[in-house]
Amino acid sequence: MARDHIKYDRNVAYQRLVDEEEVFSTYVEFFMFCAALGYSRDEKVPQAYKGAEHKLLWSHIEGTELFETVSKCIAYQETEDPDVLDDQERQLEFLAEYAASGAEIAAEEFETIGDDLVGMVTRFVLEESPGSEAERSESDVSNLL
Amino acid sequence: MKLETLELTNFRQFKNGKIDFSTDQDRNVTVIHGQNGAGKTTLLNAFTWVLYEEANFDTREDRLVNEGQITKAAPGSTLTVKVQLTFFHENDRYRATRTVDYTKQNNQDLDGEMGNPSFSLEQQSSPGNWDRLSEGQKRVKQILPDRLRSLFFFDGEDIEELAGVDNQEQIQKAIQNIMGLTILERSISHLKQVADEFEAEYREYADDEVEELFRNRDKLEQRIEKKTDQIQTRKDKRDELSDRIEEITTQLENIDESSDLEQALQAAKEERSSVNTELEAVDSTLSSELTKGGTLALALPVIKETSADLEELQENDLLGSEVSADFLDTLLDRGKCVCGRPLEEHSMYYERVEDLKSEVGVSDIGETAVRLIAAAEHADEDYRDLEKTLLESLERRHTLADELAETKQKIADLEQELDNLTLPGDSGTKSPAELKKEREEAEAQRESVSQDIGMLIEQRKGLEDDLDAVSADLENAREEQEQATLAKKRWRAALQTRAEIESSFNKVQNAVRKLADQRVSTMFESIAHKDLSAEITDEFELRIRQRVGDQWTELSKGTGETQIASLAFIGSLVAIARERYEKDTQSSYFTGGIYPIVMDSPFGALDDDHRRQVARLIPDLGSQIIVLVTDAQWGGPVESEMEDISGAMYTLDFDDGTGDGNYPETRIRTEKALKVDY
Repeated sequence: MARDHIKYDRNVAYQRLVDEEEVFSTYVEFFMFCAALGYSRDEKVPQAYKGAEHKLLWSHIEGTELFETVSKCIAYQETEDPDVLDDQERQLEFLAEYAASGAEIAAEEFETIGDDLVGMVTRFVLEESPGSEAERSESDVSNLL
Repeated sequence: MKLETLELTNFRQFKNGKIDFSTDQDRNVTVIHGQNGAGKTTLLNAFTWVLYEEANFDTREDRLVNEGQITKAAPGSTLTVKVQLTFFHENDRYRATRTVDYTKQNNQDLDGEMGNPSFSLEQQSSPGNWDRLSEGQKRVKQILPDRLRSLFFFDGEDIEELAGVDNQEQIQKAIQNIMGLTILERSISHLKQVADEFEAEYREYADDEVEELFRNRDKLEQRIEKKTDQIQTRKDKRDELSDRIEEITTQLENIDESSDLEQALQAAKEERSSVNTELEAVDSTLSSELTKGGTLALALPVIKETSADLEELQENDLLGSEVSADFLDTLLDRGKCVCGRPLEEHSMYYERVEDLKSEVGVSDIGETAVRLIAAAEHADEDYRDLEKTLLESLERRHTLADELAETKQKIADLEQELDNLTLPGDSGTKSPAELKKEREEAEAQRESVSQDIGMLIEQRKGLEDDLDAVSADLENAREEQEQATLAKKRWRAALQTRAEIESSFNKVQNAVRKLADQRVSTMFESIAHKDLSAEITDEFELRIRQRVGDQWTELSKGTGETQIASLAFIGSLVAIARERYEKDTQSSYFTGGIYPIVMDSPFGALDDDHRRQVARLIPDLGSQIIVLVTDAQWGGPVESEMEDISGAMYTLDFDDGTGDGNYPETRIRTEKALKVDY
């Protein structure tokens, strides 16, 4: 039977962005944000799940279309093997490795003590996203960043 | 119950008089107006006296007899005070009569000696024939239960108090009363005593370990009680400070030198609060967008890249192009292909997909890839929407931050100007600067007290968790002695029964609260300003809120709106009672009923606008309304609104009796009466 969860650690970024400031509503949402961040920076912590404390259930990933898509896409790019699309265990492992790295980046990026964490995260997301540079009017963003 | 006539004889300032109430459905209001002291409150008391032998006068409660008549009476003679109320109830006509004799003892006796009041209730058997009922008083209390009296016969000036946080108890009690829930409340309290007795018995036979658990539980309960007291004391302190802050603000607004500055300062503070509220709303939008959108934004490239790779594999048949029959069925049901083409029944594309069903093999990977490619198609569009929202929200934040900085500067400037007003007021009172300083101190103190309250609530929560754990241990404890086992069973049975009754009680109470809330809200919104709303909160507070931008803030007490909301609450109870009656349900508690509302001075000290609003609301409050109102309140908008909707109208002509040896007397003059034959 395939593994239905993966272990991960919650660093200070989880504490700040989920517990205290509630920028993200749940740990799962922030975990996935970190995984996407780690992957986009091409940084991961190999086997970060080993010895980790908290459990993340596959059902939480599977229950949200976007998260399931991201999980499969990262796993495919890692392996270039279509079979990984149905391998939840390996997908969870890749997610945990990138999420661990993403959480470290988030902890550094958002460590400044200030009262505008929501603004910081928003600007960070817009800056980091290479998604639609073509469509984005640069002046719009630079004025606000 | 529908009131028909009220007749008074020798009752206080009414030597005699009769009122025919409007029983018309469309013109359901009877108006009785007169100058102050003319006898409105006496009439309200006449209702409660005839029905329940209860009267509440400011002076000489026991003196019901007419002053002029007793003075003129010969020594030894007897005067009868009588109030008679004719009413309909469930198609029967009743006549309630209460009398009391006063005997004049001697020439100097101007009060008379009061005899025992007597009461009769008669039911009409045929025109002109009345049968006296044997248990008249009991029947009256069945028709209009005593506990509902204050809900339907009330002084309008008192009901404004229903709105506001201090009056949860009154709202809760009224809701319990309307459903007859007080009987359940008594059972709960009785079962507590029973449980305590069994507990004492259990402890007597229980072993040391259980006794230790009980001791722990007692200690925790005492600590929780102490925390609750501390929280209440601090809440009282916070309310006291809030009152003082409000008082200082009013003082500063009333001092000539500071009036304009203070008003500008309050306006600036309101502006600051409104900007802050909007900022919070923008941040909340950003948070909810980021919570999933953040992942989408960062993962968009990997999604697009993977989608392109999979498409290529698919084209080269490297994925296994087959998909499952279930998947094809889903596409057909949805009416849309993965490529976005519509799949209309009998169309070429529909049939192609249908044909594929016969060829399908099992390839989960192929199906997953098709899903991924489809998901990637809308990811780009979702990202564009997200980016637009994020940029717009950031821009709005920018603007709001500028506005906030400007408002803060304005507040600082105005405060500085107030600080410069150091001269005392005309009568040696404190200077505006001193008052402002006092207010700042009170505000700081209130902030600190509020923090204490938060901390204490947290601490109490911890103790409650501990108590739950100890109670669970007590539940699971095993008993050695037979007597202890039996006592424990009894104790648990009493606790369980109590918990079950409590749960039913809370359910019914909450259901009625929700009904009342819906009605209050609809009734209030139909009449009040569109940016205002009224609600009965989960904590049984009748609250009025005002819309500021996209947010709602609580409206302060003492406004005309609180009077409107309070009346709407009474109206909601009348409606609930009526609905329950018409549903004809079998209930052990309350079968509902149709009740009239008799209200004294519902317009209080309201301004013309609010009087007009209240006047519009009145006919909708119940099926029959009797309004007692002073001449001063009656004129203007009230008269113009109510003239056409009232079916009967009376004036109380008061003669103070000065000048020619007469005594104060009120005569009831008919202005308008709808004649109805019974």
